[in-house]
Amino acid sequence: MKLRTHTKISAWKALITNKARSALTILGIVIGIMSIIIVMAVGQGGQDLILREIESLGSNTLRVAPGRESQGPSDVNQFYLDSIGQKEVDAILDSSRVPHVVDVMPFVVVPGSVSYKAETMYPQMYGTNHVFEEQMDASPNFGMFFDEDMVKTRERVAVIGSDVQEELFGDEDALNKKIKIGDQKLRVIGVFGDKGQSLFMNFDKSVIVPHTVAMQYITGQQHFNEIIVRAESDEHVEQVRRDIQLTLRELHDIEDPEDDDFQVNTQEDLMQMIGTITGVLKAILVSVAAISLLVGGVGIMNIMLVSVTERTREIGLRKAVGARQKDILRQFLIEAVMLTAAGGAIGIAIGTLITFLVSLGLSQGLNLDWQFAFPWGAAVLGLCVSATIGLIFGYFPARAAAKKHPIEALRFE
Amino acid sequence: MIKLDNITKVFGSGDNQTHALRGVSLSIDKGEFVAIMGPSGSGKSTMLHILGLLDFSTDGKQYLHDELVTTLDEDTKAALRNKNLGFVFQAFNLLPRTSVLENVKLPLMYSDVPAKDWEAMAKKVIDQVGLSHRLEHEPSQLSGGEKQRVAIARALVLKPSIIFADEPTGNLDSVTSGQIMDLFDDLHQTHGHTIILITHENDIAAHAQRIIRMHDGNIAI
Repeated sequence: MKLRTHTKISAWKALITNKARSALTILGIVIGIMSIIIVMAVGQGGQDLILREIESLGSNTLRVAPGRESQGPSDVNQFYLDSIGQKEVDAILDSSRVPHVVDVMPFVVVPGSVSYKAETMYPQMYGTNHVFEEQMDASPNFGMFFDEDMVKTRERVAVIGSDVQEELFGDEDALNKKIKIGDQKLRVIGVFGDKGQSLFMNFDKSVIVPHTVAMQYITGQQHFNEIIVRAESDEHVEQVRRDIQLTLRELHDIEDPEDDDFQVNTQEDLMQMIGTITGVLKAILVSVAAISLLVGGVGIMNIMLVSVTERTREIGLRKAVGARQKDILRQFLIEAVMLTAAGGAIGIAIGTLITFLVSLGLSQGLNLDWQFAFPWGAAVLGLCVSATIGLIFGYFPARAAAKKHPIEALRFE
Repeated sequence: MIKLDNITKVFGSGDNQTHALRGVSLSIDKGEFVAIMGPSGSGKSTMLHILGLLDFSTDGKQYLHDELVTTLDEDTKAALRNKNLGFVFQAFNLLPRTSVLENVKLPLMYSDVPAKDWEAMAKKVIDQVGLSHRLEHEPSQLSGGEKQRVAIARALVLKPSIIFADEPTGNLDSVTSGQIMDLFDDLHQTHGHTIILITHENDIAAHAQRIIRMHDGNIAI
């Protein structure tokens, strides 16, 4: 279709001569497109953040957890929460059963409080082994992390986060002081620097103790809440996963994989799962924003109908001097599309600005590794969608204009 | 040049039928200056609209340049109006908030004249009606006489063979009316345009070579 410049000029004139009305009319479109941009950009930023955190763990790691994903409300296997213990870890570390394993990092969740003198707080407390320091990039700023021997000999030691140190000790030096968890006294041998929130834990508000100490003296449990297995390289991940499954099934006399009382997830599984969740969330939020676009489209249709009625004489005149139906149709359609596309562009600008401010707030205020990226995909989509809304909702008024009879239009008062 | 053969026009249907034209036959030659007169409701406006291809007749045949135009569709009629017919209305019908130049360009936008020639063609006819100093003015800044000159320039811009004027001086005072009629005389005498004009006033009609009087949907001789 050849777009004659005059049609565009006529449409543009009509819009700027009614600035206030045009601005109010496109508000619905602006808000709709803005919401879509924000949802998509912030959603993408969040997803990227989570994926980066997962990747920082290393794509060569696997997570083995007791129980399994529930397969229905009456599924009891999800309650097998004690199926991974030291015996299982030893088996996984046995290179004749599971080759290509570098090390295993067990996790025990320690509930309860920690106290020093009169101060008490409830931080996140975990029992783990020496692998944690390297795997989680968690070397203390002061003192040291516990080593393999300390884990083996169940030495009552703890490494604490900066917030914990501040809360319990204030200005006092925490190193070599005894803190109390349950009825056990543990010596502080290390303090983390300010590390902030990561996906899995907040180092600042955490207390890390040897898992042997946690299990033997504090919780009394014989099983781990989960273990992280590190393979030699990415290529070995799948093989290691298979070998762990076979080993654990043999250990637990399981013949049918359906009956597994454990689950092995690779980082890729985790990423896929998170991708699915954020995808569903985004879809829901975008559909809400789409309702705003629909309302905006109806607003456009309404104002275009008013505009067509107001300009009945103009339409009559244009027809008298030779405008064909399609010329008039085109003029009003372009006007509608210009309105909605302008609304879309403004929405993209505002949405991007808000996204940028949110990123700034999250990265500066919450100390998250949140990165701002201009949402190109969402912007292009937003422009296309808004222009399409103009076409769809502008068509009916434009056709009404094109169908006007020249004489009746000229006589219109 | 233009010929009506037993044209009727009926508005409405059933009991509400109004016969605006009751079998009008008429022929107008090239270069004629014709005035149509008659009381309100005599059908003179309806006849002008049908002559100008703005409206369709209920029955009868109409020829333009010896071609039957009664059966043409809307878009073909629009193209014919654009090319051959110019219109001047009582109420001027200029686009508001649009400059004189842009108003005069309007018919060019729907023609096949290339856009690069528009400005020169528009300026030429604006000069012809004596408004070269008002090119960028908007209608609200013009007097009634000037507005009608813009409308005449707009009607002339594509060099139509026939100019239709529907009470062109109806909204103007007598001095301005005289000036506008001088312009029509000039178009007729110097440039040889065919002019068909509706008026109530005898002194306006006196400018024409031929006066057609309408009465009750028919030509009264």
